Amino acid sequence: MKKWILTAMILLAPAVSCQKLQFPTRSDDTSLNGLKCFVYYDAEQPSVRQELNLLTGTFNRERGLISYVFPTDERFTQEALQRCRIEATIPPTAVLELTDAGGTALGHGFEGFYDLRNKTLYFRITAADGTVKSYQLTCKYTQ
Amino acid sequence: MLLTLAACEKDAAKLAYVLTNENVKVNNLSQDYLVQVDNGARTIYIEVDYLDKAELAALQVEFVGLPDDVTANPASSTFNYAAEGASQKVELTQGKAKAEYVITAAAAAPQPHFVSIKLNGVDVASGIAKLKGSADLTKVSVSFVVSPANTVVKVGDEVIESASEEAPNAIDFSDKLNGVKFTLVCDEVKAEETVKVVTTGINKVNRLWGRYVKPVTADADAWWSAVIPASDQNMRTMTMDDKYIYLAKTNKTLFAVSITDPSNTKAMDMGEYAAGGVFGSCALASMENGNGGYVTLLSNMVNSTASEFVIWKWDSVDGTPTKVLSYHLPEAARIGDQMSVEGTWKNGKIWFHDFTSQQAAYVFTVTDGVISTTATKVSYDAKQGNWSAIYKYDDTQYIGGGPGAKSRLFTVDGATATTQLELPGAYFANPLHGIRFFTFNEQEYMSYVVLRNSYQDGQLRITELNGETLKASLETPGATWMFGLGDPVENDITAEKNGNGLGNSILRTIDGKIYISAYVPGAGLAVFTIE
Repeated sequence: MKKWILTAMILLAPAVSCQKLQFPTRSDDTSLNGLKCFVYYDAEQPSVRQELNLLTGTFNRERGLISYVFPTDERFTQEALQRCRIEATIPPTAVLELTDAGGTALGHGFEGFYDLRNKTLYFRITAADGTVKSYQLTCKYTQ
Repeated sequence: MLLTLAACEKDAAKLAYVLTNENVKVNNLSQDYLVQVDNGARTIYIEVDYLDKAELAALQVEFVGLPDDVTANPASSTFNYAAEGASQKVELTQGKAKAEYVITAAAAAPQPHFVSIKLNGVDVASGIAKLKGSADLTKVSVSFVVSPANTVVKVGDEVIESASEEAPNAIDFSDKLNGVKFTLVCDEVKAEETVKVVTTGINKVNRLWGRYVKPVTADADAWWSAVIPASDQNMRTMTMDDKYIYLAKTNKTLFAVSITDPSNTKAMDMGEYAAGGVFGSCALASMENGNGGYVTLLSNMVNSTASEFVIWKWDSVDGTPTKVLSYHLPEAARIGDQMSVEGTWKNGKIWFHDFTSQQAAYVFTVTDGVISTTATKVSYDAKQGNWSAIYKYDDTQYIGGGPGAKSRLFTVDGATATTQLELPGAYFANPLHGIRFFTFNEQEYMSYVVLRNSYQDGQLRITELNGETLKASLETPGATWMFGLGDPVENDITAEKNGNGLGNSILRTIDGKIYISAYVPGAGLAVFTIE
């Protein structure tokens, strides 16, 4: 009996190995679906913040260029704009990586506070299939 | 116009400095702009807003913030980028290294949008305009400012011009669910913006029921015809609590009529009630008892020094009355034609206008169910008619209403009432009765009864108060809802003389809903609800 089973396995093995593995199509989506800034304007109350939609500024989606001018508001002082958090919404299978102006990677995701007084941040979004798109966020402070 | 030329490396030595968008400044623009530097391709792309498109013909580009050992040539230049394929070169030098960048510039596509839009003069915020419930939503005037300025605005296929005084427009916003979709077109770029209307204030006033002295379109009501026959001037006053309307007849009878069912009526137990006074006249008011219910108060009417003025109280529609005030007039005045109350039976005031002088009121205080045995005489600086009443707006502002004089807005300070405004005759006929104030759906209103045509025809009116102050609201009152109290209500001409020019209206909020009862002798009694 054991001999018979072993023979069958040897005979069937080539047939099994010929089956092609099916992989799901990997996404090439590198879109930036949302970019929020939270300004923690009250130094006395660290939890108090104002949410801003940075994509409501000037946004060239095709080129990945974003320019945002902070609105005239007594809360958005030079001091307050040193305490900004950024939150990006990207495709679930993509990865966001911060870079410098020359494209050198600095780290993954937005972390901690950013000083956004007349500041440019560079980042790229890498899709699941390896497609890369670079973005440039420039924040301007005119008060 | 989007032209990016290939870079030209002029020198074998590679430029170490990484040029960034922050080094490129574009001057003299009205809007924000974008700069993209590609150090690999040695290109600089500048995108100006559509509104700055004309500036491309002489775009001033300046290189700023470069390190000391890096120079740009030219460091600043004005160039015409408007032509198709136009580009300019700039050379960056760092020591022996040189690199040539090619600058191109373009204008972004227009983003047609409303800078501002108003519906009937009301700003639209987040796509929603709050209009008054009394507005005709089928004909809403729309004025707007668009950007870019050459944007065309359409509703469907029809081009809409912004409304002005000389050229108003009328857009149908009656579909409150879906609103109106505007299409904004600029240089073949389309954008859509939907504007919806929500209404504030009263959308509808329902006449719950009416009983008419001379019914024309309504069926005659046997009880009503018997109790209040045509031309009967003895049923001078009316009040309402949260369940019943009360009508007092000068033959010393008090009737109760259900608010919800006018066929549910009864003559109340008068107990040992003894009016005294003159003409058998009386005044009637319901007052909150401070415990969630009401008391019903009925006074007599007196007009000579030392005569006894009385008030009797019912705690319920089935109860027997108790005498709660015995007051002897200190002078030759006449009180008891009308009674107005404020506050509650625990802490309130009861006002009686003096018919004789027409320039004073006797005000009793109520504390924990006890009426003060003395009255404060509040003197007005102008006559307020004969059988009038004084109605409270707030702690200092009161309105007088009654026959024989135009209604006045007074400020009351202690024992002095000073006229702030004689209500303009262009809006407010004489007399007004039962003046009540309320806010519904963010809109303030004044409801009242008015008699016209020599006291023949009674109406309930509900007027919007839109001013910063009550005085301003009364000087220029807003839209007014009108409801005849006689039958037929469509034209409300009853031509039934109301010799005393009396009437009243009472407003109660019952189970969260506003009810207004309105009564004019010679016309009829009706109950309205507000939606």
